Amino acid sequence: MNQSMFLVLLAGILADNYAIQNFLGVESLLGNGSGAKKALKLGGLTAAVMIPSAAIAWPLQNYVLNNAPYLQTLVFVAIILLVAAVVSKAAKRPFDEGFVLLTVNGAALGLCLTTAQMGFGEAMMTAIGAGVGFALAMAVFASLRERVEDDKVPAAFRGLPVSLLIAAMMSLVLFAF
Amino acid sequence: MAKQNSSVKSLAMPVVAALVFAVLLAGLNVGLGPIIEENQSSQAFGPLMEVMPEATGFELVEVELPETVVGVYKEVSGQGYAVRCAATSQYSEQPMEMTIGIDAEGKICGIKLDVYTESKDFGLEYPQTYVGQDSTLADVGVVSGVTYSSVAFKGAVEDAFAVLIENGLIAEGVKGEDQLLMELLPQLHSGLFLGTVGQYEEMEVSGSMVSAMKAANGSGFAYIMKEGDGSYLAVCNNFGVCKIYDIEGAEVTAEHSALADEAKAHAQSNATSYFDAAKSRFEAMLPGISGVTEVETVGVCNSIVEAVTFQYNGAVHYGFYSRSYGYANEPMDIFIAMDSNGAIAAQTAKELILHGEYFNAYTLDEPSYKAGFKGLTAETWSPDVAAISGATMTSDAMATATEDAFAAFQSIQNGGN
Amino acid sequence: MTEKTSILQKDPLLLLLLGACPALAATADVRAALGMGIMVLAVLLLSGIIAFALRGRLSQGAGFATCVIIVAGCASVMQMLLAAFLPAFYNQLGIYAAIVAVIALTGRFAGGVKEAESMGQAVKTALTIGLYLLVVMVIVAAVREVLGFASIAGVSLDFFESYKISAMGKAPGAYIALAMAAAVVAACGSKKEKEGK
Repeated sequence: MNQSMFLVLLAGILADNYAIQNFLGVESLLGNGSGAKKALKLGGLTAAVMIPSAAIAWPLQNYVLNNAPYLQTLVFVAIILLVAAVVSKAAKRPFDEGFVLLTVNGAALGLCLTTAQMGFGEAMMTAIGAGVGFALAMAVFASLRERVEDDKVPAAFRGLPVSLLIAAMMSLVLFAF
Repeated sequence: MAKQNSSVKSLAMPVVAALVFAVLLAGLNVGLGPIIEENQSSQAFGPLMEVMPEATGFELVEVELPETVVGVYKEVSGQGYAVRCAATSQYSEQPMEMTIGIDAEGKICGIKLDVYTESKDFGLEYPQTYVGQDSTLADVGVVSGVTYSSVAFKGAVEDAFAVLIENGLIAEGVKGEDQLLMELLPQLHSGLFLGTVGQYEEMEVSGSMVSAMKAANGSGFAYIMKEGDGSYLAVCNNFGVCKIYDIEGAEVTAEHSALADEAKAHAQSNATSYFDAAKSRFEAMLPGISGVTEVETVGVCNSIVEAVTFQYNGAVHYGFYSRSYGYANEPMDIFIAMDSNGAIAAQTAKELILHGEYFNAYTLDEPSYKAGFKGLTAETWSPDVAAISGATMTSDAMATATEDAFAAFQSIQNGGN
Repeated sequence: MTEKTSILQKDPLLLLLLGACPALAATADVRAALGMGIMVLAVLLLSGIIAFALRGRLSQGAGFATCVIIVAGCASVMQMLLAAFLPAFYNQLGIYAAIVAVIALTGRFAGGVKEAESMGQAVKTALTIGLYLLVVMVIVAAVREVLGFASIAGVSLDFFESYKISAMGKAPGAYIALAMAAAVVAACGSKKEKEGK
């Protein structure tokens, strides 16, 4: 793997993290109330949907959808749903509302949209970086969230506000990259 | 079987929904597609339309682009080309972005500075001086106060023309003789320039002179002169030496002695004498020197304004007074004494850091800095010796002064050539 | 009123959570916030109407997946309409115009609306949720744009030039601004509860 590809991978995980820096799939991140280990598993499931979706979306965009750009969003969402269905079966999880809301999110669609414009190699590196970055972000966020005891937080900030502030701190850290 | 059926049924629902929407979107596209396309092209071509208002549309031209050129667009009805450029000037990290419209005859028909993060006035007036120019950019200058930005701007415009000319899209403009001669000048008399930016004032002229330039640092003069059908460049230093060059850059002084005499006369009557300043400075630098006299056989045209010879410690020495340009483009006063072998005996400047009270980003231990020059000859010296951390312009001025002094010394050894 | 949709109306913080993606991404500029708010509102309305109309068929197997397709289809239609008639707003949104298709808010709403009592109620809920999010987004965007870029809707405000905080225009600022908005909403909500009691 040459240096520029490695940098693309690293950027997807850190500086350009889809959930934290680009807000894609941030609802899954913020709304997840479970611990770090479970969050990592859920993030892994999302990554398992994101990466194959990007791999399928790329040739579709470059060989078919260029002639019908208005179908892009619909087709990509359909692909992501199909991949999610396959992943849910492989992971032996029910393909219900919860699973769909978790995996068919802004991160998956955003990834398909941005990688469709790149070369295939760069697109795959970005997809892997974004997927790994998403899973890591979920785990780190959950771990940090666990440590905040809601009793010690002012009433108005309990729940979503303090979660957003934790995400703000994570974002500041990632800016260093 | 029942389970398979229900799976197939449940799969059917989303598939049918997707197909229905696909058809709906295709139908919408029939009506809205053209509107969307027009919106997108006016957004992409907005800046291009501003420099070429009569244009009917643009298409991207696929050519190899230099660093400063972002895109080349051909106007579809043959009115010319629009080029988008991004240039970085020395002082700004943010590139300035501009759009240039060049008509089919190769002249600039419109130019606009789209993004510029420094002085606000630059973008309104200066770019308009380019309108009507062809690739020679003969009548375009640089703006004092935003020198680096205007140099970068000009460079980007030159690159834009170069791309179009190299790809055979427009014809190259023909440079006038005066412009060709001016382009030779920085190499022929470096005392009139800081880098490529002229540091001179124009003077009133008559006779065979078309224009006269007096160096801001007193290092000499340059003239554009006409004789017969030809144009010539005369360069004079402060020692009464004048050389004549033709538009090819060849020295033709012998064949045009009348021009040389006229230039010499003008230079000598307008020159400033620096002998007294040099004498008193060298006497202060090296106590006990005697017999300070002017050297007249100096044939170099650079920042050296005065050359003297004197006796020091029983040996012949030379002293060179350079006025190379330092901070804020102002001439510094640098004095370099050499022995008869061309080794530096001492070096000083009247004020090492100009306007030092305005900035303190530099670090300098003056005595050891000056001592670092001692004993160096043209072969053993390097510009690093002149470096002052945090004071680039001063360091460059010191390096230029030293190299010019070595060149002047060599010229004296060669009998004034 | 259905349990799912009434929760959205009664718990504004949940609404902000589900709509966090647009509320964070499109609030660097008031114009983007307006454009995104209009997109979300329109998609909620359209998909809500269609999902309610098809509610009989959506209870089976891949019902929720069908809801997602419906939302994606509605989002695509809105993208085209915005690109054609409000290109200035559309260009501000970038890829986030398409992301509306998969945000949790629209998915959840489309999935829950089939239990509404009438089409009128479904439309009313969609309007309430959409307008609420639009207002919050515009307020957050105004604060972020003034503090981050010293401008409002692209018009520069010279007075704030020297007080600019560049982080407000970027990701950390988005989180902080929304956190403050959410805290205000929470505080107002608990005040109402206390008064009610």
